[in-house]
Amino acid sequence: MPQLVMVIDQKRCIGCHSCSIACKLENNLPKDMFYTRVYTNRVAYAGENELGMDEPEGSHVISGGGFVNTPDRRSLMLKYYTKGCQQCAKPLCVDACPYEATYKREKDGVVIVDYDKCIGCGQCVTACPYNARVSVTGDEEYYKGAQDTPVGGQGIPPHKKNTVEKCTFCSHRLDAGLKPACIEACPARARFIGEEDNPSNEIYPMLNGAREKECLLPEKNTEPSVYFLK
Amino acid sequence: MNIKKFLERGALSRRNLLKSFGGGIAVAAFPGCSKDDDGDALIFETADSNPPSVLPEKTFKGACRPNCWNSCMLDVTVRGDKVVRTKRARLGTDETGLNGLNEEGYYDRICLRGLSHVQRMYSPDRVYYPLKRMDDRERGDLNGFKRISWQEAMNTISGKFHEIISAYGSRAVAFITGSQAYGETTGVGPYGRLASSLNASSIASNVDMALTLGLHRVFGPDRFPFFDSNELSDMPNAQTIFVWGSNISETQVQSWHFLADALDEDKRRKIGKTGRATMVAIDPMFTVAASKADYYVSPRPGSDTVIVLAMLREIMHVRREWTDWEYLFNDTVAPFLIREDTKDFLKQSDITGSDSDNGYVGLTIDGSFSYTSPNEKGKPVFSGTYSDYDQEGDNISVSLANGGAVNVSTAYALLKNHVAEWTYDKCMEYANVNEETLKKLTELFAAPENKPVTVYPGFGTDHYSNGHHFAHALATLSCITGNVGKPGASCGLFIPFGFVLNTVPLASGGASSNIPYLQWRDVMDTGKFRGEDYPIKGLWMAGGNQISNMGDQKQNFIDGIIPKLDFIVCSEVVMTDSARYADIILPAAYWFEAPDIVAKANHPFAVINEKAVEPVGGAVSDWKITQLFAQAMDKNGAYNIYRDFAYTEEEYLAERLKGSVDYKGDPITYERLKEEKSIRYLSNLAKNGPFIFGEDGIYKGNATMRAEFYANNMNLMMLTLYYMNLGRDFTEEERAFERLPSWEKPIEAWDGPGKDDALTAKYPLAYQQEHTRWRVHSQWFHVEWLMELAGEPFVMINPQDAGDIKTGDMVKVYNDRGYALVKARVTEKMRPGQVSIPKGYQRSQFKGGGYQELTTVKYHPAAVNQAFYDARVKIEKADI
Repeated sequence: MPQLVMVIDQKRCIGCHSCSIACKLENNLPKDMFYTRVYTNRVAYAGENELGMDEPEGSHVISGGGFVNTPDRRSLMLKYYTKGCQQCAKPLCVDACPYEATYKREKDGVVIVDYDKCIGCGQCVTACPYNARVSVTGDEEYYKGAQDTPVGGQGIPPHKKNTVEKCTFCSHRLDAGLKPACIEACPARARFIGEEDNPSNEIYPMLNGAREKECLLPEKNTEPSVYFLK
Repeated sequence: MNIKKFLERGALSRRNLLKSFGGGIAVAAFPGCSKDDDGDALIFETADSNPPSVLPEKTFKGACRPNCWNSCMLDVTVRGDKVVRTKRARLGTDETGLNGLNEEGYYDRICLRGLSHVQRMYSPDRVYYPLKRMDDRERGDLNGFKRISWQEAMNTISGKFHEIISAYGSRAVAFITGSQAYGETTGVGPYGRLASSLNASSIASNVDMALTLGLHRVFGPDRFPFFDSNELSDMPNAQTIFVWGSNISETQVQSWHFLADALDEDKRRKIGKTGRATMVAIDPMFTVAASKADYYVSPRPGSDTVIVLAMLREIMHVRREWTDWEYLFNDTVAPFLIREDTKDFLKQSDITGSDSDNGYVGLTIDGSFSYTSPNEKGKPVFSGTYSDYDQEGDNISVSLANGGAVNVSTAYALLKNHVAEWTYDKCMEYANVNEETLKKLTELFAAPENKPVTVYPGFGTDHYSNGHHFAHALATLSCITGNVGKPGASCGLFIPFGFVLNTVPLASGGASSNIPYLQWRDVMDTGKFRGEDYPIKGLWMAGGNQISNMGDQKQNFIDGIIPKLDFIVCSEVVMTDSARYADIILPAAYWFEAPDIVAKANHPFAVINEKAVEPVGGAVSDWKITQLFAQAMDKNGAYNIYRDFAYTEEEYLAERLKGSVDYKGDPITYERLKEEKSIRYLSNLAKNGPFIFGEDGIYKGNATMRAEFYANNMNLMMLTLYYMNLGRDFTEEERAFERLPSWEKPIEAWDGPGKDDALTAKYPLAYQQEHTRWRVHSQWFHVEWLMELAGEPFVMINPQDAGDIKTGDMVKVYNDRGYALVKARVTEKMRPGQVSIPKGYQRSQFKGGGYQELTTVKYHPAAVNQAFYDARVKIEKADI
């Protein structure tokens, strides 16, 4: 099965959340719901609010009047992990679903939820080690452009209560030959997508070059499809 | 949500109604609701859940144009009669100026703010109709307004203004504007015209002027402010990039990719460069930009000028081989002679006695003099070896035509002597930067292997009372090292404001008087400005949220100025800090609700903004507001001002573009801009690369045609004539002091040598207001998508300063001027000794007070600039 992967260049990523907002707009997500969010190194897998956002590691050392950071010695460090669904090659959510509502697409390995089969039991939410899934209960407050006009992209699957949603790599956009909304919007030009093993792809040299790369929670053996270039 | 709950909530305010009606499930509970018929069901749950079909939509070109400088071009998608989506669009039509790095369109960009326009446009906080403050309500009461008709609004405003002008003269009406939109029919533009047409007073906001003053002193005043740098697409040509007092990675996220490309070996290879550039960040706060830098320095707040002076000393006294003699002597005033008695330039006429000899005098190696014509750039007058120039040029006697004699020195020698005091020890004591760090910074700025150097300065240094000295010093450092006028070398901002626009002449009126905001309260108290009567009674706030953005918000503005005004009008898009203090609020159209053009940006393109939808409610464009007012005003008597506004929006835009040319010299007309959407109007001399500032080495705004690091232009030494006439005389000592970049301690924030012991004991922490990614100044303050992430206001404080204060505690931040009640965030982002409340939250978003209550209206008389970061505070736990 071909596998689409996303590559995030941490040297370029500035944690600006444009990906989060582009996703929210494209998918017309309700209040307080994000498919993808930005985390800092210190709180990469924990919850975060504005009081922890952009928090560096280390300490702001000024005694002695030296550089706080040089290429060789860094007292303060800040790097970003944008985190949505990892589109795992071995997704625990798919295994956990009792109703075969969540599955991997044959053509690109993207994990999809079939809202007609999903009853929102939440077993996939529990199974996902990345906390990438959100339950839709029906109590969500949806923003709409103006009173009665929904916002966002064309062709998003209708939201449905008692289901579970998540990042789909914007499968509706992929099907229309477009890149995911977060990539189109990224002002840092830090996000890339392509088939993992296709040498003609722009991500191939990135993943097979000199740069060190990292996936989230490799010890879970889910083979995630999102790479962070350090 | 069930139907009962929905109906209950629907009985509440419009704001709540909108929110609950926005509930997708709630809507689905009303299958018969006709509002669902136009596509709603396609997005939300349907009975059969068939795959959605493509909704009919139309896309327009829009220019996002807050004062973040970027003026991105957007595709604005409309379904039905509403904007439903904004996305990045193509800016520019060919490869010119793109540096060969045109993947995906080098200037195509958008950010989180540009992505959330739909929420700004259709926000519950939007002003939909003209509103009048009810008689029994106080100014400032957010809920004290009722809807009125446009006719009543205009009759009331024109009636009041007529009454005031009849009794006190046209100066008694004042306009205060901001930077809400870089447009011509929306935002500030029309109101400047109206103020002039009416001969009214204008309150100048005195913002960001110090950086401009310092850079324009050196490079000349022949351009608008903020235009002293190469085009941003040139940045990958730099070998070293200094980001100094700027958080480009939050405040101009759209421009970060230019810098990121400079740091990217692969991108650099494409433009023929080897290896990546080096990035240096200098900022007391560990910003996102600082986190990206190879070298990061955290200086004492307000001390940046010291670092530059010490770098100048290092080069001029120790590492003389790093001087760019050729640039210095060909393109700057370095060899020109300065009189010891007047501190002014020695003129040819001083020696010949003939007034027609209007050249300047420079020194040659054998001690003879050479004259340069002010009308063409002077040729090099130096004929020896550059390195021993200063030894020959210091303190020599010259015979004058009047029989006397005067001691003179070259500008270079004066500068060299001037910076001699900034030793390593002194730099450490003042700026907290040690010898090793200073030496490395100097090497990064001046050593051949690190050139060319681009400096990207923000307004961080500008927001201290000594900011103009920093900019003057920085431009001087760039001159000494020759980091000017070449690809990859520049030291300012690239915002060629209004470069292509024609000033449509007024039929009536004239120039309105500029009163500095920083003196406005005195004018209100005394009724006098520059010794003349200015009995200001009426105020129109427009094109910006000035009550949120001006210093000393509470004591100076809200309590000191507002109560003394008989009548206040505010044109606004949403309900801001400013709008709530108005007596009449006029609903201004949003940017995509009117046709406009944008020629102010940190890119070199004129950009079209197409009208995508009709304005909401009863809103009209700012241009139409001024038209309606002019019509109403003319009915009151012999004002006859409507003739200045007798253009449709598009006619006015066409007039503004008359005489404009693109980079090839071809006319830019409105029709052409509508066709091509964006047109480049600047490039480099070869017409195919990024624009390079000072490429020809001719600084035509300066009398010497050279870069004047020794200030020659009296207007620029003191802003008195150029921007702001304070009616204040400056002493000879003050004038002499401003000639060369100098150290002055900040007015209030300073805790280094010579600090105010009583003040620093009472208020132990310096206070700044970080500009964040969530807002542009105060704009976007209400946008819910962003607020879900940005959260409520907080103050950031270093653990060393926090004491028993923990993250999440409510604290009171206060000084003599006011307070803010906020949550504490204990963080290593902050340098010990300085705290920050992110800028732009409205007063209604604080538990008490506001971030802008704590700032000051104290200022440096030469710069007349708001020193927002030049403040001190104390923090205590709050019991709420």
